[in-house]
Amino acid sequence: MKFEYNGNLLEKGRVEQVAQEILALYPEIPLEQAKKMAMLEGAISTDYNIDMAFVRYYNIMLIMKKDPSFVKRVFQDLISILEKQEKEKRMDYYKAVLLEIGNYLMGIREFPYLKEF
Amino acid sequence: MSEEERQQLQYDNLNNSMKTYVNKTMDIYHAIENKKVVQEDEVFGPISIMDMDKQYLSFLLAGYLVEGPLQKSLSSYSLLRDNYFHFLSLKPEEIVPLEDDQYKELYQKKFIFDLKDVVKRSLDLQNSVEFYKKIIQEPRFSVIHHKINETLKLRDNGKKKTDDLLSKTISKKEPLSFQTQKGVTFDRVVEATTPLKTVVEEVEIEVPKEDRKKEFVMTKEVFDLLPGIEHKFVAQEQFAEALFRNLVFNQRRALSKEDMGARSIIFVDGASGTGKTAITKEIAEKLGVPFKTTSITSYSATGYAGADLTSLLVGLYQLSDGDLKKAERGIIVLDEFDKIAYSSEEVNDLKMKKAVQQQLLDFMGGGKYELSVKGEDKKKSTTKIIEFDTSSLTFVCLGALTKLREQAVQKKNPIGFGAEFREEVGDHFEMSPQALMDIGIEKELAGRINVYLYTEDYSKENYVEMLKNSDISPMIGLQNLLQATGNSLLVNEDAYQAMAEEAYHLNMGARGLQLVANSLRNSFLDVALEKTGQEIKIDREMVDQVMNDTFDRKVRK
Repeated sequence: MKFEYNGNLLEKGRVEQVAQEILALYPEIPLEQAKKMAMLEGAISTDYNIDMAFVRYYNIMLIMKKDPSFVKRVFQDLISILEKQEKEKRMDYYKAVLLEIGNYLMGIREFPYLKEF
Repeated sequence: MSEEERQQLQYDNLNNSMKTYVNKTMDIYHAIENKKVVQEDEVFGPISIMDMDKQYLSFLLAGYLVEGPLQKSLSSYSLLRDNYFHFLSLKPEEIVPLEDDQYKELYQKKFIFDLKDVVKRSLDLQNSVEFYKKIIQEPRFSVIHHKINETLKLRDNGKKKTDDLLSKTISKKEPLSFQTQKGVTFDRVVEATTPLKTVVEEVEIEVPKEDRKKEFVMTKEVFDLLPGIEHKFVAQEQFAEALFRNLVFNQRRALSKEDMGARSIIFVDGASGTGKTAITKEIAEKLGVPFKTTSITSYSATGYAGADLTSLLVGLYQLSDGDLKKAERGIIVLDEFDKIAYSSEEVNDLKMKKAVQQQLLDFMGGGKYELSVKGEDKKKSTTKIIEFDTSSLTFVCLGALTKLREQAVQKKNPIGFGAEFREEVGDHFEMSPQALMDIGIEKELAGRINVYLYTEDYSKENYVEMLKNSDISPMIGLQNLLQATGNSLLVNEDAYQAMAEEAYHLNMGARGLQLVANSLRNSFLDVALEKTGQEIKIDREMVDQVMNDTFDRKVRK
């Protein structure tokens, strides 16, 4: 996933760019869904950081929550990324969210919204 | 600003001398407020002035019209007065006194806000002469003055008189060392017109016929891009314009067969989140120039091998689809440039910082680098070697030297438009190579940089303006999301104020606004995605609640 700088783009252009980045990794996602995922994040105006990745992967899962098998793939991709972060100060927060997503995948609960945490 | 200062700035608390002068200023401003002032420059295209420029010019003209010591001081500069009138397309009879209550209203609405920094510094002053000096020390004044003088040269009427007047203040033979955003050279009293005068009068930009249609940057129409760029980035119009003109100059210099002198190697000073990278990228995209940005701090001591910075060149080549000539006139933004500064006492990272500074020095000096890039055969994975010449690259170095700038406001540097008057003007702050050397940038590297620009810090009012009127306001994303999900958004005026206050306190520039918007989005995302026909109302209470929750949660985690 590229996470290209898009802080200067109009909203339409930003959504298009982010949607294409998502589709480059998950081409099976319908374009309209990818655009909706892009609408859930703000403009990128800094160098890449782990929070960007967390938010994007979370948004992908959120929009695709009716397809648990797809969500599981993205979930595992996100875990792979987070595992490489040794001293991320927000790791407890990420883990708390991932735990609840795990519960959703087991059918225990609905997909969690971030405002819960 | 303290409450006491705020009270002193109120219209009713101005002394009589200041009130008379300010009233005449507002008479003039009222006469020109709705005039569209646009002048054509042969090379640099249309030069327009903004509302704040009109306020400054009104102050300047008022000095000629209000009886008293100020008028007497300015009496020998009647030609300049006439040229201000001409520039503004204003006749003296159009200046009509306002009603008493109109003065106070206009002052409170515009002047006290837009010029509060100038007026604030004038609180202890007793007369309009001193205040006038404060006005012409303002950075914006030299930009306006330069524009007026440029248009003077385009008029033949009174040309000799103009040259005679300007020759008192311009040392035409002195070469320019570098120019600032304000158009004034470092440690030399030279008129703001000098650098552009060199470009306008001495260079013909020759474009081969076959390239004329391709190279948009060589045409006058390229300046049609500027208003759109300025409009997008609230409060940074001056920086956007100065950067735009320097980048266009570099492109033209790279494409021209004529010797146009040294390229602009630019340092931009500004707080985080004030649009330094965004505006540079916007201009690069609009000009169709390849653009790479990197943070200098990403080059670690263990990873640094001298070749890391050349990856930027490879990146430019790839962005140019293999067009080497196009890549060679690309733009490289070096973020956190001040972070490679070092002191003699430093132990950690000293070697790395020195090495990076040396590498940058080589890059900026202009040299040829052999790069291994992907071959053109798409069927096979091949590489080829190219020779990349960095002598036409544009370097834009970004840093935040806020403390240094605040300290350096004390330093003295004369500026003015008349030799005699300049002696009385007083001091004015200028960025300089010395400032960079003071923080630990090596002399040779600091000496490469010849253009100093800066971005403005945002006020709360700027944040409100960004939220409500910017084309890249984060509110647009919230609106679009709710519309796409069959819902709607309602934001009251106080909510904008609340969001602006939060962003202001976060002190992260435009990123602070994005953070506020992201927090709000998260708070109603479930409603947006699960329901339709809902109206989400954002008021101050909601903003406060969401931001309190956001920061509480972050602390807990």
